[in-house]
Amino acid sequence: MARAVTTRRKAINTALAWAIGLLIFFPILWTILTSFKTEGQAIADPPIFLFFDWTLENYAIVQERSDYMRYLVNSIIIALGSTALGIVIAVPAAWSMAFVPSKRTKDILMWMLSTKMLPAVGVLYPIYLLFIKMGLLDSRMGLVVVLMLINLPIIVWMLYTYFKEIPGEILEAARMDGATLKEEIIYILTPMAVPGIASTLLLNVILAWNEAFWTLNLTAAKAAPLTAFIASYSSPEGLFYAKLSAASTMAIAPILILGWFSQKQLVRGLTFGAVK
Amino acid sequence: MRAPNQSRAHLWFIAPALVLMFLVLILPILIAGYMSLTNFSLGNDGADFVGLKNYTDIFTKSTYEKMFGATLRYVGVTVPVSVALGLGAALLVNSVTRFSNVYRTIYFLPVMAALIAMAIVWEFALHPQIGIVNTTLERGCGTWLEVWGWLARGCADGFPLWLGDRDYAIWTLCFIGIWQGFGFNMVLYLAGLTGIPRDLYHAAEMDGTKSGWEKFRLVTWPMLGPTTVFVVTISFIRSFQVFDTVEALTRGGPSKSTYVMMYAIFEKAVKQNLMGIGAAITIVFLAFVMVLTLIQRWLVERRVHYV
Repeated sequence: MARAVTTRRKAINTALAWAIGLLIFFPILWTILTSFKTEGQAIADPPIFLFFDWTLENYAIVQERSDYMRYLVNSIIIALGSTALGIVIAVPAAWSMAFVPSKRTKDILMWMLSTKMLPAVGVLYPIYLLFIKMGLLDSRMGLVVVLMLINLPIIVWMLYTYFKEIPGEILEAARMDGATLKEEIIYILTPMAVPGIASTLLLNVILAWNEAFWTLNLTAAKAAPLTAFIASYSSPEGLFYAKLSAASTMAIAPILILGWFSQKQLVRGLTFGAVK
Repeated sequence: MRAPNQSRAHLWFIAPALVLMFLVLILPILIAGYMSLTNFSLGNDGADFVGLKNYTDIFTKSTYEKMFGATLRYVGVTVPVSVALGLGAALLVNSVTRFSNVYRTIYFLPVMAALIAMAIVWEFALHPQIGIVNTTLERGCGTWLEVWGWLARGCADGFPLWLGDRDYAIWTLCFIGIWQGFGFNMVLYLAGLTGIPRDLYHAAEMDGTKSGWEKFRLVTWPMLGPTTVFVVTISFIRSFQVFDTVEALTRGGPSKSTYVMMYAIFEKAVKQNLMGIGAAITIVFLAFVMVLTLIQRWLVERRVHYV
């Protein structure tokens, strides 16, 4: 008796889950579909769902107008560079907070996180001026540094929560066997923390990839990543929706594909640190 | 017990991160705090000290009243709805055993898609004449759906302009914010749910708790306390900082109905080069966020931990 109820319940829940999923996914799906339509079909009323003349013309036009590969390469360099740099700086900090905690550790962690609440515009000008002085404006190096700093609190925090899960006895045992601090970190800690570091990496690549405020304000032509690519297509050409959709699809496709395949790892990383 | 060289090493380890954060994040706040008391603007040598004038402006002029109104509306709607939907979706996904990974991924997709790219999609969908939203609504005209008064009025007088509509723009932005962000909350809640020991449900059943709602109220919800505090705080911070969609879709308009704080700072400091007032809004903004964080900390320390 009870089983019949739960089965029906399950069916309803499943249907509901799919319906919500479709609703959520629809805007993204629609963008991808529109990118393959002609301009006329893109604004056709009633909207055409699948049976239109699939064309790659929009992509060709977008590619012709702006060199997609250059933006893509910039995005990849900036996202990977800032993440890698962040990890290098954050691992020691997280290590010391997790394994040599002091009274202030919790406070320092809170304080680091609270910097995330800073409105980015509030610090734009000091950084802008500094960038002009140091010749970092419109350079990949400059963006790598800024995005690394923006995301550093999250990296430290996530790594800290991962490191805390590692039993201290293992480290003590290593120390008893005569491992130096450096060896301890390289041979014991890092291998154990690989899953955690991987999730941290992933999340930060996504954050850096999608960051629009800094990338738009600090780049012009040379170092502009995909966010700038998409922004350059927005307002003036308001009505070329098929081309806009093609540009949007090109901008989000790499990160969505990455996210899709690494979803499990990513979600684990997000939640592990957050809820513990 | 610790070797002395190690405790010093730990200082060296943490120092780079701290110093960097201080230089690039804390120092500018101090600068902003100072600038907020002046009428500094870029390229203008020598700023005058104006005392608290910028602050009194913020709390008296009608522009800023609109700014607070828009911010509160956005935060007041986006936070509760995205938290509730996040929890609902998590419970749903948790109850469905098959394909739960697929749902998770799909619900999480908007979080990964750059908001600035998605903004264009929404602009398209919400276009007053050719957007899919209004064309779909029009299809309901002349059918029995017109019993819905709102639709009938729209058929007669035209449907809302959404992003260009003073009465709808801010709610439309809320909707986009919720669409984009609730998947994040869902993921956090899913993690919270897996952390609840099964025994608690068995214990509740033994004590005579039968209905799903009772189990939720007596076990799930209290056990999710820490998660909820975290999710609410994150949602608050994210919605306070809404900027991308405003800049891409409405630029604070129409008639300042979407003039949220982040955008106000951007407009004053960057576009109009009124750094003093921009800095003052920044400080007010930080004060808000700080109060929220303190409340969160207080809650965490007080009563949300059961295990």
